[in-house]
Amino acid sequence: MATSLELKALGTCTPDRQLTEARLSPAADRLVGGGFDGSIRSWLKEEEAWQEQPPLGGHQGWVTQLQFSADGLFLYSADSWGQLRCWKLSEVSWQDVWTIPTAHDGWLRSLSLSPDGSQLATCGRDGCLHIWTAATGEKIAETTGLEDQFSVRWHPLESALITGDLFGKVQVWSQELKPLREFNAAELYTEHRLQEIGGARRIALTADGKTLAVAGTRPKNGGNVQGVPLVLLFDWTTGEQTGALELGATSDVYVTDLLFHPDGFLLATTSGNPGTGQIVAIQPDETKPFFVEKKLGNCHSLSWQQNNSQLAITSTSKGSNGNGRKLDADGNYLGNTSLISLFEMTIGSGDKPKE
Amino acid sequence: MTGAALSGLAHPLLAEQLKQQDKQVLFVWIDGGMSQFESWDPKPNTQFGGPFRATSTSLPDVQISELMPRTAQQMHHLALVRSMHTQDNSHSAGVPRILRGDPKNRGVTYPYFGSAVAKLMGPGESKLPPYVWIKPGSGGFKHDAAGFLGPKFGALAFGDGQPPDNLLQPEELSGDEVELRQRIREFANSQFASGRRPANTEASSYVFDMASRLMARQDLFDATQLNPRDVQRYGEHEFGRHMLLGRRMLEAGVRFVQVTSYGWDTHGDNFNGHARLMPRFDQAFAAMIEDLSDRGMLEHVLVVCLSEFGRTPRINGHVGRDHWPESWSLAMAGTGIKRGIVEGRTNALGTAVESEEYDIGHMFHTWFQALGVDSTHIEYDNAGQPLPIAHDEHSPVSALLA
Repeated sequence: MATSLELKALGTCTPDRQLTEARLSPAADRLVGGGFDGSIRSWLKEEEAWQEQPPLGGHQGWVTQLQFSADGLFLYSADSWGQLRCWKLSEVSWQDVWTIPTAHDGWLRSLSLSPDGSQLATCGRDGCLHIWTAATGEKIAETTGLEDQFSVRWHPLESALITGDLFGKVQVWSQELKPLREFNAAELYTEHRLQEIGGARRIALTADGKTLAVAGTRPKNGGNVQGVPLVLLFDWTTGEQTGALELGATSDVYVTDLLFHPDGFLLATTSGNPGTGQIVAIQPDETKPFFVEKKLGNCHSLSWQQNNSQLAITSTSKGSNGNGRKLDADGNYLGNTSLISLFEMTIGSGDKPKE
Repeated sequence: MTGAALSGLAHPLLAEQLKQQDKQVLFVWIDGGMSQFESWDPKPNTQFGGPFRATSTSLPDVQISELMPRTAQQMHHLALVRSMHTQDNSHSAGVPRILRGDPKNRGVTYPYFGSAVAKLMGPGESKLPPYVWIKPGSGGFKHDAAGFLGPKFGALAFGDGQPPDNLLQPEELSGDEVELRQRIREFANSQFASGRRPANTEASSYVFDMASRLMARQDLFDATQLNPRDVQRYGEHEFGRHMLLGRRMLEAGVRFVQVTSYGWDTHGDNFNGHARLMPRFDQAFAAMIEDLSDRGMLEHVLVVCLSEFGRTPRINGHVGRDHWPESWSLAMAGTGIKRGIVEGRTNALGTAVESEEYDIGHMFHTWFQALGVDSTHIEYDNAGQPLPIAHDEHSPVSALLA
């Protein structure tokens, strides 16, 4: 069982804009990042250095989600204006394969490629859930009239789709989008004054599909949202909640990304108050993480490739907040940027630590 | 009471004129700082624009955030100001500075706009409390709002939109008994007031007077009298209920109605925050504008909607926006105000005002003028100290005035 973790720094990428997330290709030789400016930033690993490539344009608003196909030859991207796109790697550059300008009405929050790579599920703020063929972008199935959908994931083994909404309702769907059953993650939601806060922001499953993790925050208040980063664990078969992992204090707020490592532990990033963020590793049946790294500040995504154990973490530039107008030496208004930190992750195993 | 009120202005005859006007005010206060990017002045597809789109409105060539589709259809009633530049980026000092019109410091505490209108224009024919404040949380008489005008001109707050405690008249009392109790109270008060400062004793009497007027209008708080369709249109959430109550107060003739919404200080998770806050604001605000228009009430009601500042273009690590008085927006409508206009603009990124900047003093002047109050000549008389009713280095924005 993993009881320790070491991150060896391999380098950084420094785009000049903020990113929503970054994703490593399966071979960990390419890196893409979704920009706050509608661009997809791209890097290519040449020898041991990451060289920035021309960005991919055509999206609007924020690029919210990116996912590589298993062979790394295709990239799927989504934006906050509802556009969905497929790109194909052609020699060294990405070529547009298909585009659906209004796959959703507004914020397309999450996409997920099916385990066999043939279908793409998307969900969004418009309360819609769609399934598309990955090859052509043809719509196969849809359901509408839902609440704001934050996350979607395919089950790794069963023909089932899992979504999570603002109110913490986690719904299991058939491939034809018939509702099958629910998991209750309402602990990830609250209403405060005029605002509904939280939601089932991220979903992950173990490779055997037996454990479902739903993550977000246990929200305390709206406005300047505060809350404890929280991961709820469920037994897939029985539907029962088997754990609730608190990954910090109320200032740590959200679990922003997470995955199950094949060794069984959860790896997650958190982001809270400006300058506050973590990389966390925790065994599902433990109450305390066995690894916490806080130096990066607000961490917004993690991308891990098993083959070479490469890890990419996005975080926001330091000193990101402040009232009023902060200018640089030339009198220009300063925006924030994101940092992509690349690591080689090494796991140490041992007996279960004594209490 | 009338004599005491008149003595507070430098020109008593003018005061009498103002009191006879039927103008009213709806003051919508969005506490914490509504983001202008996610409301009145979107900058989609720009560095700081955020994830949302802009939407067309009933005004050609004018767009607002996609989060306000209903208000977008009412834009032809509104005057939008996108060039606000004010002085304070803190809540604690900034809120009262905005609410008081941020006048020059003369060593006195200026009244909130509502108290100023209550003083200048009185309660009107309804004789209902001239300054009511519908708000979440606690209610009661908020005398601090009145500043140097004296506690009598404070705001009567309806906490959570509820009437004051003990508003219901005991059933066992007959009308004659109530009248007798009032006369005894008035006699006792006059004895107490003799030899004491009028400002304080007036406030105490005033509160009882207002209470008795409200007791006659308990129907205003009776939810069973609401049209179910209106409840649906305004929304069954807190802000919807409070705005609907605000409309009923205006219909009943209350001079100044303030409706407050809290929770807008979105330093963290700003975009998901506004994604839930704005639709509720949009629903109730649009319903209000539509109803005031349909009822012909925009002819005599001034509508103002603002916060203490806007929010930063820069998006912080908590995916939030911070305080930003540098370039923000507010909206207004109704009596004395041009309809269907946008005044002022920011640059392409929303980081600065590009046109003439307006401070809150300009707005106070404009609002007073819209209400028929000549802000450039009328002064308060604070125990012999003449004081301008709005910042004397600012002036009305003529482009906003009808």
